[in-house]
Amino acid sequence: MQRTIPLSVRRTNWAWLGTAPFFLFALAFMFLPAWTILSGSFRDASGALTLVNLRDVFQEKILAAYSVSIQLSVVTALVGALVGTLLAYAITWGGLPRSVRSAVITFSSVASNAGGIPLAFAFITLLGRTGVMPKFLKTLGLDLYANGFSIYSLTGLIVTYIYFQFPLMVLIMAPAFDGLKREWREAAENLGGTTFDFWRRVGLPILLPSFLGATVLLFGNAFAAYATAEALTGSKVDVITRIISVQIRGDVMYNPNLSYAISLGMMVVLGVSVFLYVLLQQRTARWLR
Amino acid sequence: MNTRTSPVSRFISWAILALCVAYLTVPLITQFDYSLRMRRNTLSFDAYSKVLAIPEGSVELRQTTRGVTLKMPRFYSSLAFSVLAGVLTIAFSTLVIVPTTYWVHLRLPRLKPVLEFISVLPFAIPGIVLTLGLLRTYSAPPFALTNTEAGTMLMLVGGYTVFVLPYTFRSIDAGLRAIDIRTLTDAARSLGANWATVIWRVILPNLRVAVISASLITFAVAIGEYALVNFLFPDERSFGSYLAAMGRNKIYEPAALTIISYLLTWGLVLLIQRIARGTSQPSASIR
Amino acid sequence: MAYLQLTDLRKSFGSTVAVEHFSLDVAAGEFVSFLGPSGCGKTTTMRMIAGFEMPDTGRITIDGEDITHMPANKRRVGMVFQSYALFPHLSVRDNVAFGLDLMRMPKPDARKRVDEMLDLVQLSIQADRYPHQLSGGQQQRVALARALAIQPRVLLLDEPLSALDAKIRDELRNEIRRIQLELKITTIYVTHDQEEALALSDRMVVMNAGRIEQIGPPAEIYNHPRTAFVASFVGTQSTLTGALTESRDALNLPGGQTVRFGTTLTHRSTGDSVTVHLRPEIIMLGEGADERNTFRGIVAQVMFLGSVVRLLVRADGHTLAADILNNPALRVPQIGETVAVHFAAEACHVL
Repeated sequence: MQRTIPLSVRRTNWAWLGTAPFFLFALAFMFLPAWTILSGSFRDASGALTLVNLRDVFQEKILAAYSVSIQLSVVTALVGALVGTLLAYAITWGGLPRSVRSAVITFSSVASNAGGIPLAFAFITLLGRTGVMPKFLKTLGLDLYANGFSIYSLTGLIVTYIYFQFPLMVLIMAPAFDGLKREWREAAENLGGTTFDFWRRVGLPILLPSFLGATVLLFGNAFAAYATAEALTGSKVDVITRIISVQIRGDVMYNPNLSYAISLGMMVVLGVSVFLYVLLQQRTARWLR
Repeated sequence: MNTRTSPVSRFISWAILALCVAYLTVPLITQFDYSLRMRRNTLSFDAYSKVLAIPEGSVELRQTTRGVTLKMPRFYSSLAFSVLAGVLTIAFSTLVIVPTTYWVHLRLPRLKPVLEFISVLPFAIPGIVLTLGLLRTYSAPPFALTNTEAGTMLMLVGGYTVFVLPYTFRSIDAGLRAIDIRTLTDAARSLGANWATVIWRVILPNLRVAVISASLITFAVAIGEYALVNFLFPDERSFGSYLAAMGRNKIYEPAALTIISYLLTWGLVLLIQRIARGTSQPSASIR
Repeated sequence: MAYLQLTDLRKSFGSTVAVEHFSLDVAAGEFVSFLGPSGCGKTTTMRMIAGFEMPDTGRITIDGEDITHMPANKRRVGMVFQSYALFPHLSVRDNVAFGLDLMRMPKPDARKRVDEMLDLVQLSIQADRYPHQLSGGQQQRVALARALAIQPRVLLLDEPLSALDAKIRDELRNEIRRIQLELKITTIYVTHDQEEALALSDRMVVMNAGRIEQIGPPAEIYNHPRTAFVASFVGTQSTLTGALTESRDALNLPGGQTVRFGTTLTHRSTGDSVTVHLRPEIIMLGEGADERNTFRGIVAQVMFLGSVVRLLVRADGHTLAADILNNPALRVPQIGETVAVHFAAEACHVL
């Protein structure tokens, strides 16, 4: 008996060692950079502790950028979630041919992936001042740009972001719809329920956590996006990621500690959404086990 | 179930599908059309040949102080650079994720929630914020990684590994769940294999599908990424930076490049689906 | 008059015929099980009664009312699914109350009914738990309570026990029968497990390849199977095939031995190939009296089944299964030992 104790201790130590590659990586490329930002947010240029940076976040320009980013993210998350859910319903329970489903899934993977700069180019061609759509609508007597529309605006960003938001929703919700068992519908019907009763009392309540979780994910997806906005609107619309990029580039109002504080703000917002997402995921996992 | 779907809901489904497909395809169709209009009053592939052309003398090996470099037209050199970054990221993230995840599944299942938690953390760190954090942590002494080419590349590869971590981890985790690694390991060990042999000859081959689909996602991200690479390599040598520069300076070429990069993504996605047939997993997004 | 009446039902999916020529009358309060291998059409028939499938032709009536084309949600036919199909987001109580809510039953009445049902399936304590917190057996009890709560005219059970462990299965099986007798509810029970069907049913319907093979009480199905399929599907049996003798009350095996059976096959002619079916419990160990059939052979396998010990004896190119009742003093023959077995001519079932 006595000999087994030191043996098992040695074994445990070795077992923990096996996890080293991953934890070293996480430390070097996630936790240390995050620590730089966190600690930098509370220091001034000389390294002394201060709350000035946090106060400075509340200046008009930065708050405005936060507000633009949050509006953009909320609107595109909601629209993307609704449209994506409808499309996910259509390809799973809507009675469309099987081939349509796989085509939509493929297209959604591409669309949710191929964002960034090329997407901005495509929307400028379509909806830019001399783009295809404004020209076409002008022949019908509707002048988009004279009526206040511009692709180089918050509205333009919204229209563009939705292009990658709703396909992402489809990719998350299609498996969720698949998770609804046919027997649930039959049981509901068997107990006297109509199709409407099934969706209202069974289908939608079961999907709700997935839906909310995915919506939160879409919010974060838009909130963290940068390249599309940079390529589309550049300095015309200040989203919060662009403010940080300007800070990194060291332009006009260069102040590293302020940029830490702005980043910290983003991480707090996203941290809350990731927390919500994980919570909602767990609930779904428990139900659909 | 198809047979029991009411005609009304089927009609609504078709309508939703039509609208969504229009939203997804119209920008691409108009962009394709635009990319063909470089030459006046006629359709041509001029924009594509401008981008893809390899003029005589544009490819050469050059001896510089840093060693031998290959000079190519920018489309190719930038794509090659991003592909290289992608390949290195694939190697790095496989090395970082597979052994640890395997080990945790086998010996330390208590740590699973910790790994899962860390793997969703990148959702809370936007690319631009990670860029800032990496630059401020490693560009100054004591690390001063940006002083060397290799050090800068390491930062890029590490950052990309973080970006794709939620997807790569999930893919490999699911792969490990699908095979009975404990039995496989015990069987291999009882047949006399050492640990390296177990991982290299038993576990990795069984994770092939998971690793390959994770790799393709990584590839897509590496080719399209803009923020981190543009700040780490301000000489605009990545594909993302090249695209952005073209967007600023040219009219028809960006349209051709949009189509080309969509085709690249299509290729990668179709490859992923061919490999992971039947499983529909959400893929990474680059913005 | 029959309470549930199925008349000449037929259902095909594309070019495959799932069920045809299915007619059955079920009396009020009767427990009828559909038994057959997977794909025999038993589940399809049940789903037609529930209204999840529409028959191509034929009629279904309950208590004289034609429900052939009535939507499933109007039929008041309770169903219990193999996979339980409990709603995961609702507590046990809310699952049971689901159908009552849809009927707009007043809350106090519904509550009372739910309590009665939970009491009936002995789950009152778990009323506020969620399905994922229950064992498989408990979940299936909830499903049963949920189906019974709406006071269905007919109860349908679709392989309700096949996802459960052996021990729970026996327990719940007895419980289902107890509740069915208590409520006197007309019940259709689909299963591929003959033991379940034999133990539970008033009558059984044995099906194969979309058609009814035989309908009858368990004892009749077991003792007097009308087709070779029923004989082989229900219970274990050995078969001996040979040529009919001149007297037409025995057959000659290819090995030369004669097997006498109790009846004379007047409608067959000498030399016809005839098969006798033998249940293991009619075959005894040892030499039989003169009028009995006796075989000598070698013990090929010994299986201890608890209440009986089953021997597989190879004799004259045939394998005979013989069950001997277990008792602690029993000397079980060893594998390879030469033994004699015998059986009465009257016990042979000829098809």
